[in-house]
Amino acid sequence: MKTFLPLILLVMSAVGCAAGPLVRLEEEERARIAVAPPAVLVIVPLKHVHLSEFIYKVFWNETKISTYSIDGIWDPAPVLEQTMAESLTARFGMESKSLRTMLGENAAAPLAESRERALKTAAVDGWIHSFPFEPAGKDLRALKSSGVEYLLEIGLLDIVVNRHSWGILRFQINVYGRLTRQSDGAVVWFDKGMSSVLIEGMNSFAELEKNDLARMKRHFADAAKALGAPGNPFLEVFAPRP
Amino acid sequence: MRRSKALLFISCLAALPGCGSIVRAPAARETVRIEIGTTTKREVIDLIGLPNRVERHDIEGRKAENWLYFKKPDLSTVLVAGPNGATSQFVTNRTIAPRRDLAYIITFVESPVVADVTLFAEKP
Repeated sequence: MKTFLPLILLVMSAVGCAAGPLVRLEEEERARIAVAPPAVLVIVPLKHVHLSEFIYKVFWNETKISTYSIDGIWDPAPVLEQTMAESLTARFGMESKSLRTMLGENAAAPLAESRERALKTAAVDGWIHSFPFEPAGKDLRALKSSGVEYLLEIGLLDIVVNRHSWGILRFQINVYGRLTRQSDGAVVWFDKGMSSVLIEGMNSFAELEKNDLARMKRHFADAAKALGAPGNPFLEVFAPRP
Repeated sequence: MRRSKALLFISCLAALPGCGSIVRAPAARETVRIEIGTTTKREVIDLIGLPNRVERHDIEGRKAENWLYFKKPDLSTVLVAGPNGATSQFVTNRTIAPRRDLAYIITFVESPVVADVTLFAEKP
């Protein structure tokens, strides 16, 4: 698992260096999407939460990162998927739907797992840099028969609780977004996104874990809403052009 | 000379708030009691938090899940209660290599109830 994280961070930072998205959405594609809104699929390749503590020590600084597993304990994908679909509908009038809602968890979960495996394989086999540009495979293209013309795949790459030594706490999520055209599998847009919300009145990480991770889930839902909200550039690509 | 003294004074002033703002050492969690055959996954998270890693494997055809906790300053001290105490029949079948940084492993076997607890070391 340690192999995956640096590679994923590498590809994310490489994308960040580019001015704008790595794959730009063409205007003619934008017109098609307006009448055939994308379905949303969220994948969570690394089922971790990171606690990142920035410690100010006067003459130097330290960043201490602790990793906690949520594998089989909490699946944040359905919440993010539903929130992104609702954001597309509310902001741009698109009738977008969560794939899990459209197909049901039993049909959508194997597709998500297949993409999660593909990302991990790409990281191990060293083709993580080309992963975003790989056309959609047969399984995803087959979604066309279910009425999916475009698929917005959102990869939840990291959930981070940032704690600064001055007491500032933020709950942050890092994602990528990849839009594929199901008729031929082409990748028509790829970009990364991030959102963070302030955590107030928290003294220890344990407070996020109590009561079946109640507080962690609440902050995650807030961060998901912030990712799709006006002002966050992540979904801005779907805004109609004048 | 006067200028360098002034700079030194300002540097000291700047450093002072830093001394006060160093993050608090994490307080140790409490001593907690985990009962084999009774304590659930949700209760484990409430008591000792999320695991640092989850690993799955088969034990004699049954699906087992190990929650691994690594040593850290705010780790709870775990008291284990149950028919098998802190070791059990599953230990010899475990596929996890011993690690110095492991504090304890909570094992679940086809159930959300604790099947086994292995304590590796005292709280650091």
